[in-house]
Amino acid sequence: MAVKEKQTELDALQADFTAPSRCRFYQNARGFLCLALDGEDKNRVQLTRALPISDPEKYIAVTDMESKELALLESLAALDDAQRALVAAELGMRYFCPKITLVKSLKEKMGSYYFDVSIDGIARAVTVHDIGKSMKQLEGGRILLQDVDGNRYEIPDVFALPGKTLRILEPYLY
Amino acid sequence: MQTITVPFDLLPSGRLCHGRLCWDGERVYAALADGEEIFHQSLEAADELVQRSGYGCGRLELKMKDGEELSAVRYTMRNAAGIAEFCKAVNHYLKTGEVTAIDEKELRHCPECGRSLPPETDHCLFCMDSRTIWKRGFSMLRPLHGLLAVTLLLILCYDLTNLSLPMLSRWLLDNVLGGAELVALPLFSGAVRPQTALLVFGIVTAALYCVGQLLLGNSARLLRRGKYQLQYDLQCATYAKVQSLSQQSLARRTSGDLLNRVTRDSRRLGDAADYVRGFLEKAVLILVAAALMLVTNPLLTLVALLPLPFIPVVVRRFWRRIRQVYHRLWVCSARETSALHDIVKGIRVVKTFGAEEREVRKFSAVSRRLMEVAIRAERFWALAGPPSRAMPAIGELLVMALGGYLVIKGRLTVGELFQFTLYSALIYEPIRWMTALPRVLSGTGTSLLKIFELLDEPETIPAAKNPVREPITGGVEFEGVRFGYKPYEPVLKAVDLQIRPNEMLGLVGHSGAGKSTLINLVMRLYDVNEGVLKIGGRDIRAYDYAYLREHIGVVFQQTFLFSGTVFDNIAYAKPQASPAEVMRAARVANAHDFILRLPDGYNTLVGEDGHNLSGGERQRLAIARAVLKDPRILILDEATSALDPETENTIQEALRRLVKGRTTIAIAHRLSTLRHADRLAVIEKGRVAELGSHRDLLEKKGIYYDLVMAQQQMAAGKKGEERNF
Repeated sequence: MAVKEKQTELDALQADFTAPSRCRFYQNARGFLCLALDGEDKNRVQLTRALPISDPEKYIAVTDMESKELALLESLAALDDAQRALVAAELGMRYFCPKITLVKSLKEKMGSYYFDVSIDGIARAVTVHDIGKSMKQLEGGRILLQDVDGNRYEIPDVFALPGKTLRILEPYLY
Repeated sequence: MQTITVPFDLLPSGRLCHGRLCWDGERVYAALADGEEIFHQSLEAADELVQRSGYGCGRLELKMKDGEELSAVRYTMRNAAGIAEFCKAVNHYLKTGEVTAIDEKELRHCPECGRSLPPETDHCLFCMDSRTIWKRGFSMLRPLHGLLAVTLLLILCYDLTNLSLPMLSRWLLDNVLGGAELVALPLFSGAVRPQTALLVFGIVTAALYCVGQLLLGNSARLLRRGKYQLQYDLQCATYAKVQSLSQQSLARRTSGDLLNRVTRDSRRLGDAADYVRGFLEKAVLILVAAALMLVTNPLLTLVALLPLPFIPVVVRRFWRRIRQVYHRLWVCSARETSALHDIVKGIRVVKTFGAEEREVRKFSAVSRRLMEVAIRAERFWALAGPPSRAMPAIGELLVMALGGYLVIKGRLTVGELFQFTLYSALIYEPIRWMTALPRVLSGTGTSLLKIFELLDEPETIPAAKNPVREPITGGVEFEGVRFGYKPYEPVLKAVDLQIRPNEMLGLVGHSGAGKSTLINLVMRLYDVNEGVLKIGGRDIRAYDYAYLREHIGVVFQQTFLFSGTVFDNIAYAKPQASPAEVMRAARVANAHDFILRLPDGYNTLVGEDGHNLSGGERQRLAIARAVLKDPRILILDEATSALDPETENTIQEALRRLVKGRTTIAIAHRLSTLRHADRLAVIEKGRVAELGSHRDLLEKKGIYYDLVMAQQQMAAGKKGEERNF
């Protein structure tokens, strides 16, 4: 009996993805994302990526506004176009990691690093404190940068950017 | 009223923009740089502004009185603090009708260049004129002026002895070794044989060398005395400042940062004194040598100094690159150490999961990276080193070429040429040394800045103008208290709570509900953002800070014992306590018996290098400390949560004695430990959700009831498991 109970508990703890057919996302009159789960209206919800860096399009948790999990979507791809667009738009509102298209300059002053970068043609000044920890090089030339305010930036492939960017960043790529 | 405005920088579409969020007293609106309004709303029906934090961005929403929510603007984290200040001002107005200004300092942007300020500093290092730091740094040397003057004099004398050696060599080559039968001795009448002259040369050279070393040694000794005095003064000043800082200021910094400011930065400034001596020594040497060269042969001097202007340019470029190379090496080395540290620390886990091979592979990869970077650094050093060292050699080569020509032509003696080559070597070596100076100075400048910042830090817990030192009756009242460690993340939202004198109030609730924050405010580690916290009917801010602390005692979950004896650790609460008082306190805390069993009783050393005490024993020492302090208000922060039930019983008994006749606020997750509390307050999401006696709250069948039931079920489950076992 006890073994059976334990087994049931274990089953309950398995990551159980919510079938897309059970979810219906919609926007309320004020434009906030809401969810009807199995036909039951859960009102406003928020979305959280379980693997925001390695798998941003998969494993999306849907929680209520008090962060209580309501559903776990395995992949955005499983949703139909209209539903996917709604979810993607909400994720875009919650996550902001702009792509740096050019690093114009990088100056070191008293241990802090000052980047002048371009993001889709818009100039942005980025202050980084500990460059060894704040700039991470991932596989395939992908670089993630976090500034002193907690903003995140991405360079999808540093080798694909203009040579100047690579020249500036090269001394700090470990 | 004047419009209050802060920047925002994100459009709903996720595109960066430049915009201002404004509040003119009637409505909140957001306008882009070209004047287009993308949001506006009257505040008439508004309840409050709410920040919803995302990842790398946030969203400002307006909550209306009818419960409706409106999305106002989006912003990146760059503007999160500014928007928080804006919310604070608007929400304060919505609640009280009072208009408050925005604290510009909280925005953490440079008002000149707009760049974000790095952590741990309130200055923009990008815009900062380093001269102001140096000026202030030099002003700290004022008490050492006399010592520096003597040092400078000694260095000048040393340089003169040093510079006289090439002159003696010239005399030796031209006069003594020139083949003459008799040699005239300078400063003496008459002539001597070359052998005697050689002996005189040897003696004078040795004497000058000895005098020179004596002068150099003494200058170093004097300067080091000043250096250690400076280090001592700085360490005392910074340490005293750290002690006087509020918890709010301290929490902004890591313990490593504070340690570095008190130790490393102060030391680095002292070390800079060595560079000052080196600089003085070398600057004087260069100037005097150049003057002597000019007097001897101006043309040859110009040739010798020809490569001079290029050296700083070449060497600085070289240093910049070598710095990057070695910085990379340093980071890889730190990663290797960190990986090793992780594995060694978690070796039990590694072995439990049989992951030894995996960890070896992981470490090898980090180690290989370090090796590759080190090889690359050495290759760079090997390739770039010789060209950077070539400049002085070029100068010396030019001197040899032109000098040799002049010797052949009979316009220069061999001795003069030799003297010249020695002087050029004397000039080039210090110049090479000086080119590395900016690197050292940059580090010293940063240390100076950090020390000044710490010394200039204002008290975030302001002292009352006329501080009250009247007896504290013990009642504690929260009236509409709002507080957040980060202004945009409120932890306590409108807390109203009255704790009666001598009452024991238990605080319960889920982790992160705000219980510890409440007691932090009672201890005045922080000041409330809004509302009032009263102690004994008086605003806590009116009390003398030290006086207030004297009347509050705390027993934490983890007790920190200082290196010292058991006696010292108990008497920490009252250093002048007599042995009888300390023992009485230990008895009340049920600690006396176990202390007597320790090898040296109350003299037993504890702390980092002392006797290991169990968790229960440490807690009893903490209680003894609190008993000795005899506070009016007692705070128990999970005081028994880390103990086994048997030990807990002993400590509960001690605590029961301790709380008698005092206002007590106790936090406990294990609800059974609060069974003696007069009332319980359930804190939920920053508010007092339920308040009443244990019985009242159980009857209410609310949050407290659920918590009790959950714990009872867990306890029953545990017992069942034990029976099955």
